[in-house]
Amino acid sequence: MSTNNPNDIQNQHDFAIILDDVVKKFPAVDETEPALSHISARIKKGCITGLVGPDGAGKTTLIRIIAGLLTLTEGSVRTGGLDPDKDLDRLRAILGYMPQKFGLYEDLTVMENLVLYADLRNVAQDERRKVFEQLLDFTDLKKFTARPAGKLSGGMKQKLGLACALLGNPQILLLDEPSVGVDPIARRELWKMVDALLKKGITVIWSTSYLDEAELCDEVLLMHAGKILYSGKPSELTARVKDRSIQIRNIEGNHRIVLQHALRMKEVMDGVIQGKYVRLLLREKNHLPDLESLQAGSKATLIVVPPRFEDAFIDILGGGPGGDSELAKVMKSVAKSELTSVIEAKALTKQFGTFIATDHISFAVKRGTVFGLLGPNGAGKSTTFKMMCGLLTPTSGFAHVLGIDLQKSPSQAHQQVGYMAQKFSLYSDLTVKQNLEFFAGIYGLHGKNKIQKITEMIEAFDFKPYLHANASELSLGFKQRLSLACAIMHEPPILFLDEPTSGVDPITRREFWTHINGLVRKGVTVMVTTHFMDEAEYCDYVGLVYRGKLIATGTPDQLKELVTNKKLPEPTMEDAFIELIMQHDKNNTQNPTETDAAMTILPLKTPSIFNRFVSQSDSVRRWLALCRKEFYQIVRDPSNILIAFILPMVMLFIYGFGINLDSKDLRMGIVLQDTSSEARRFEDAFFASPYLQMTSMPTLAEATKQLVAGNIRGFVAIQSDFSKRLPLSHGISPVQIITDGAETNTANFVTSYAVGAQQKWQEIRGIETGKPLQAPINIETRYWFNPAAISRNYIVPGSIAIIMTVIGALLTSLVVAREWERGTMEALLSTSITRLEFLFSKLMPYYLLGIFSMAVCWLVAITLLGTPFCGSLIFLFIETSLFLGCALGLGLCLSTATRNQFNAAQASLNLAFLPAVMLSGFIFEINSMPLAVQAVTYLMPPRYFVASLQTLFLAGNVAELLFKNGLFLLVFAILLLGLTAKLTRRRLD
Amino acid sequence: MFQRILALIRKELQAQLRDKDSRRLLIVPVILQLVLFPFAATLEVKNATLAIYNQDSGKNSIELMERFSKAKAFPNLKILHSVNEVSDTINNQRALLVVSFPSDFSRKIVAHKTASLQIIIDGRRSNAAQIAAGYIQNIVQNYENELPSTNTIKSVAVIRNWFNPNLEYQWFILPCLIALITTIGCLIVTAMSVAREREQGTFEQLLVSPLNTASIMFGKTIPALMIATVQATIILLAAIWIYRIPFQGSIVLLYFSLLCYGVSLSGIGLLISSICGTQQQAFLGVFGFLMPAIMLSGYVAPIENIPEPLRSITWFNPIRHFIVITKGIYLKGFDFALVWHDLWPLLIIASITLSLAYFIFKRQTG
Repeated sequence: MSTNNPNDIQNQHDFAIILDDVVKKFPAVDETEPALSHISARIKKGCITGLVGPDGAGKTTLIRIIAGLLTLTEGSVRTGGLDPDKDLDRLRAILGYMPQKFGLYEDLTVMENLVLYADLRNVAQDERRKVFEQLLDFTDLKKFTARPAGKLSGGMKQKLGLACALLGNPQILLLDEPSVGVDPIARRELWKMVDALLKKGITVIWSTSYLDEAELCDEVLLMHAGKILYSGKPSELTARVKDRSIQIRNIEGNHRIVLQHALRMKEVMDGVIQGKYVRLLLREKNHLPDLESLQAGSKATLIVVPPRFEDAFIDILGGGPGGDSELAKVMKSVAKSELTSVIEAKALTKQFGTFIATDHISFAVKRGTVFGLLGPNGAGKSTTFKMMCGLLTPTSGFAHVLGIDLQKSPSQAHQQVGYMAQKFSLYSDLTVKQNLEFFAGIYGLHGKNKIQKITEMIEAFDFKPYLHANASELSLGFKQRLSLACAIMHEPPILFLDEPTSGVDPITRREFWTHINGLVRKGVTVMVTTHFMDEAEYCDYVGLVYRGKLIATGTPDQLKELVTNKKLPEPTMEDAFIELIMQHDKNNTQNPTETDAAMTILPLKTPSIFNRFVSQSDSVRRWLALCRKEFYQIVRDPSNILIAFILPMVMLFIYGFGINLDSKDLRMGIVLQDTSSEARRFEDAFFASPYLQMTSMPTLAEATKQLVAGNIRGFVAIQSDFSKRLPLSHGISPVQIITDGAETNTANFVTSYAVGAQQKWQEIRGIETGKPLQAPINIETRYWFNPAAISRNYIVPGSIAIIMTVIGALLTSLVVAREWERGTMEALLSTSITRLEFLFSKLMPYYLLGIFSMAVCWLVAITLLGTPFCGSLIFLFIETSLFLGCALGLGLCLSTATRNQFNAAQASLNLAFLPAVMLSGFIFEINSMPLAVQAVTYLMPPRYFVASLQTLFLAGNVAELLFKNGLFLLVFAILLLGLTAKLTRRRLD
Repeated sequence: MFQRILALIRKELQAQLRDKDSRRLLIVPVILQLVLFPFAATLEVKNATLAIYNQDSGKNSIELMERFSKAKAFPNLKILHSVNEVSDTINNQRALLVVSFPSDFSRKIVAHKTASLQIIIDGRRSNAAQIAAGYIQNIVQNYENELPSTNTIKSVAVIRNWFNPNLEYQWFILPCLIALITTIGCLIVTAMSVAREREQGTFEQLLVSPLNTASIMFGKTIPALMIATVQATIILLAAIWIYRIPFQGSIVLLYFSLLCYGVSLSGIGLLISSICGTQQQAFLGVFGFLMPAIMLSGYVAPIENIPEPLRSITWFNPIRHFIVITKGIYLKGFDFALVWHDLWPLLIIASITLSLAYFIFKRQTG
């Protein structure tokens, strides 16, 4: 390693970043292999340093350590001369960091993202106009300032991410895989931008698995399995393999077979297909392979070509994978087809509203060839691909596979197709074996055939050691193998691959294409979309899609020839791609470039008084910026609106009107078997009851039937000897009152109303018989606070407590977790915000939302629902604020602890919502619960809030009760918020 | 096709049972609700505090006080000494209700005059207090009957509570729980699993397989039914063996109804998932459906108390129908004719939601 030179120590000021013996272990992962082991490096100021290596090499971990987002296990780091452990705040002020997912808020517009990061990175208000104008010019995003970041193409997102990272004039810029999933044109523009930055003296670190990019860097750090294999200039590494790269030209016959033969030779270390040529890397200079045994034909020639960084990379890793595909050996040959073309698109057009995504695209693919669909992001490539797979219905035109129309008989067509989606879409929570079994199953394999096929796949792809591992635990390379295995188990004659090797290192990619080549030779036809130009070289035939049209088709070499001129004597595939698109733009001068209606660059015109106040403190400004962002996010997500505004109203009305515990008009039957007037008067007393709705029933059997069916909640049976037995004061009662015990609560009411009716009858009878009834004890019942005993009056205040819980806890349980999942947390952490600023920025908008919602609920309750309100609004405000403190604290605490929206939502449902309904005393009486459950209710903030609300609405300002409950709420709020603050970290680990 | 759907079903079950989070999701609510609901969700009154303000020094009021304290509803008596104390007790919710004896209470009884007794109820908790007041009235009435007074007439009626002789609230809760818990399980499995497949990108994999939309929906419904059946069985066993509530009806009929109910719920779950892109939206969608649906199911408050037009809307709430069925079969021994009354609405709901979900899925893929 070049770092142990004693001269370096004197020139420490030349280095932007110094890493000494850095070790990083993650506690969860296997102890034996640290993520980074003993990394030492010096990174020069004002240079671009490429961080290169295969997937899982530790690139992201290293970048995060440099940014101070992760702590070290051993060793030391100095970034810009600062120790991340001690000077985190100063470090963040000089750092620009763009995480893998760009760290953008997708629901905020371009301008809003810029303003947010400008505030977070303390860009002065008066500089902004200039800075924004420069950056928007620089990134060419001026036309899109009002567009939400989520609606930008991949390339534009990446530029915006870079612009956000550049705010606040960082001295060191860290870019983590900025070019994954981005088309060559956008990549080239990004490089131009970075070049401009380097001229200003900024140090740039660029991590990538694309090796052609590494070649453009001043210095590279080549990483593999947590170690640095090489550090220095890329050209020096490339020089090691000088004269070892050769091309076989003028091949007659199948170049795929030539490659396979070549890779079997011991002289050859590695090989790839480049259009009609085959490019090889030799183990030693001048030890050329024997042309004849390559079977490349008599005219074939070997030409030494300049080496590429990729060759050196393969060399340093000890060579590529072999050329034989185990998979191809077990696959049967595809039967010859009479059709000249097995995949066919004719005038395929798809229109989304007024936007034409693809415009009359036609192509045909011959059996046993590879067809590549290329094009910039958003050109219509994916739309075309989806229509070919039958995932989208074309507006006009048709897509055929083996002569089967994908629209008319999709199932039949799909049986002929193997499909490998972008991002390795497998069931990550199933094991390798379960995935294989599942895909075999849905493609109709069963019995012996299925077992045999699965065994073959396990052998061909070496799955044996991983059979019972979850698919999510596999390395990227194995995930890709598994996707391929799942796609081809049913031996489809046609294979669709959607960006199959995006973000994958060269060795895995070679292995993948070895399999594909093997399959193609068996007669499988392959259609592939890709951003990766090396991959395009593997295709027999390429179609270039741009602005919804197929602007060029041909073999890779034909496309290259199209753009060959004096300036570009030997264009690469990437040159051809860019040149063809530029030519197309030139020929269509009227250029319908998309622009957004709103062209304002600086929409922010905050009042000047506000500005003066705000500019006093960076901290306040950062906090306000975060609050504003949070507010936009609340307002723009429809599911938030549903939960925060619509559901509360629905709940309030349902609780107010739907839940009525006062049973009035209870349906009861009455069976009168005695026709005497005495019995009739008894019956009349029941009919006179205001609470009962009586129906006469002819027989007991009928009444029983109705009761069982639930049509009545009870019945009165007056027996035929009623009048005879009445004078007797002893013996069997002549009347039976039967209730429906299955409706337990109602049965209680039925009983008491029936007894009441009977008493009434006794009173009347007493007067009539001259013996007026004189009860020894007269019970007088008085309802305080709710004289009419209307259940709505106490249910409505209680339900407001539940609504506050939903807004406070359920909604906020998602917000921090969402930042983690979307990768924006990383971007926020790399700015200079503090823990409290972050926490209060989450609290404030949801607190205001809660208060607003309380105001609406209060208004609806006292107007539409007619609930009295006896207390004072100030107390209502105080108690609500304290309770919101508890609910928000609980929600944020769960969200921070889980970092996963799904789990956080579940937890808040079980820990916040359920207790609020069940254990708050809102409907169910706490006193009636067993002691253990009662004890638990003391730990539930809703309990105190429900009592306070019911008191405020119905009883008024009962100072002692309100004060006591407020105190409990305050204690819980402090505890929960304190716990959240403790859980909130300024670093990732 | 059968083999393919079988593969889909097996995968679905594996995915639900392998992942720790989703396994927890299927078990935790069952246990939590099984333990919590029968005890916490009760409208009975037990262990309440009764405050007594006795200005009378005679034996009658003391006799009554003793009788109150023997009732299981009021193990705690709180003796108050002044009117101020009465209002303080009610205001600060130190007792559920206050019984106040005037100073001439015993004297009047001895003199065969009508003595009065006042019950003061906290209107903020009027349901519980109302029930408690009912207990007080009962005790007082029984006492009256024992008084050597001449004019009282013995009650002519005898009261019987069918299906639940002692009006135990748990008898009401547990059959309802069978409906509630299967609801949550079924909706989560159908609605969330499609959203998760969308997020992971595996939904497209399914769409490009030879499975058609109907069989994908079928493959999502069957595992949901299986999980619902297991959950329902757990509750049923607990109700019979742990809570000792006698099962009156036909097990076969119960499981058959459960099947129909599960299908109607899967329809709703699939409908939610067909319009949701992310798990978050699906979760909030399920929550947004469950909240009102449970409230208006007849579980918290009887359906007949719900005013029109809200009551008619509840016809489309499958939980409402299934609660009638579970309670009917469990407590009342419903036969098929009675079950059918609430079964056909379930089938209608299922056919509406399933076909809607089918068309939405169809339109998305096309």
